[in-house]
Amino acid sequence: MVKKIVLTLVVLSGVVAVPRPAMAGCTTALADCYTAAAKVDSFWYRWASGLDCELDFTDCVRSKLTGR
Amino acid sequence: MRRSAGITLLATALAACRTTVVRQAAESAVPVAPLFGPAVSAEVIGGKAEDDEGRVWLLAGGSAIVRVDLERREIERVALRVSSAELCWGLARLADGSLWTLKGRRTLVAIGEAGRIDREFALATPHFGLFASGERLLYQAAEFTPPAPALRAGIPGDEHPRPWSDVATRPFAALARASAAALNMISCGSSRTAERPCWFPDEAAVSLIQASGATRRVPLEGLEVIAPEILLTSDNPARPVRDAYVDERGVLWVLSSGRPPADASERPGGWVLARYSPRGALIGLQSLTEPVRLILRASGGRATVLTGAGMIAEVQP
Repeated sequence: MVKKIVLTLVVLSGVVAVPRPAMAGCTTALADCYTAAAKVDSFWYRWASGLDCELDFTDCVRSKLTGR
Repeated sequence: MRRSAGITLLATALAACRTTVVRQAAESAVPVAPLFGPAVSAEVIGGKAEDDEGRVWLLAGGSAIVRVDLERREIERVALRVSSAELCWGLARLADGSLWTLKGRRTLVAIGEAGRIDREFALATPHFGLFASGERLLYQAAEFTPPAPALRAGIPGDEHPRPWSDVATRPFAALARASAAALNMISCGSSRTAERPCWFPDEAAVSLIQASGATRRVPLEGLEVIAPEILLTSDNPARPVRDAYVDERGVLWVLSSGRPPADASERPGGWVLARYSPRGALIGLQSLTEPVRLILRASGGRATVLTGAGMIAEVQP
């Protein structure tokens, strides 16, 4: 039951709301980047790596959201 | 398995239902009449600046400046002399005529003759965007902790630009930090009055901002709004406001993504042109015969635009 609720919430949150390739690529790249950052030993380097992941994601989606 | 698939289908349908169609009763399609060009290809335009004499500068593909002279019907393209590893974003023209952009996230550069980089300033923090107001640059810093000022103003080299306008980044409780930061990236259009239009990618509203920072928010009736989650995951997101321009009478011209015809090509641009009174009352909302990327100038009831095919064209609603 819990699994079903979580699945439903994830879908409703739009995380897997049938993304088309380009921006889905941004999301996938963010997930991959987070995974790599999580493996960094040092807390501060790990935190900085996570921030870099988020900056890369915003760079990735920027042309679609604010580009003309 | 089948049950999970059913739940997924139901949930996706429910998510789609969150798409809020305010109203988009477009009248008959308005022809987009080419004047000259093409000025650009399908490359992304990362910034726009203009002067009072009908000249417009576009940052194309992150690595070239395209100057369009609307009066003389001339187009000139120069490559920026930057490394291919660091693309540029944002374009700002100060009152003294100097042209500025962001190289990567952390470097402010002045663009000189023939695409040369005249000056560089290292920025203390990463930035998302760059605009101009008079003699000051408007910086949009990469902000991950909303609410915070969306824009800060300062002269080039000023290490402590001050908050500009009442526009603040917005929290999105249901979204990840990076997604919220992306939705808080602001765009600003051109104006022939004292008020400059700026907007967020998910809102059918603009903030009209004076040089002093005085701000008034104008909701835009009739434009289609989609849920932020859908906006973030679309390849070609339907933005309520793709571009905005305030003409000399204070009429606000808005280019909106709208919905392309079923047989439309994949060219970039919006399919709806709307006009609003200075107070925000809807004057007219019409679909276009082809997609338009930018409003370059609007005056006397007609607009000069950049089309999805890269042509400079005219629209008379």
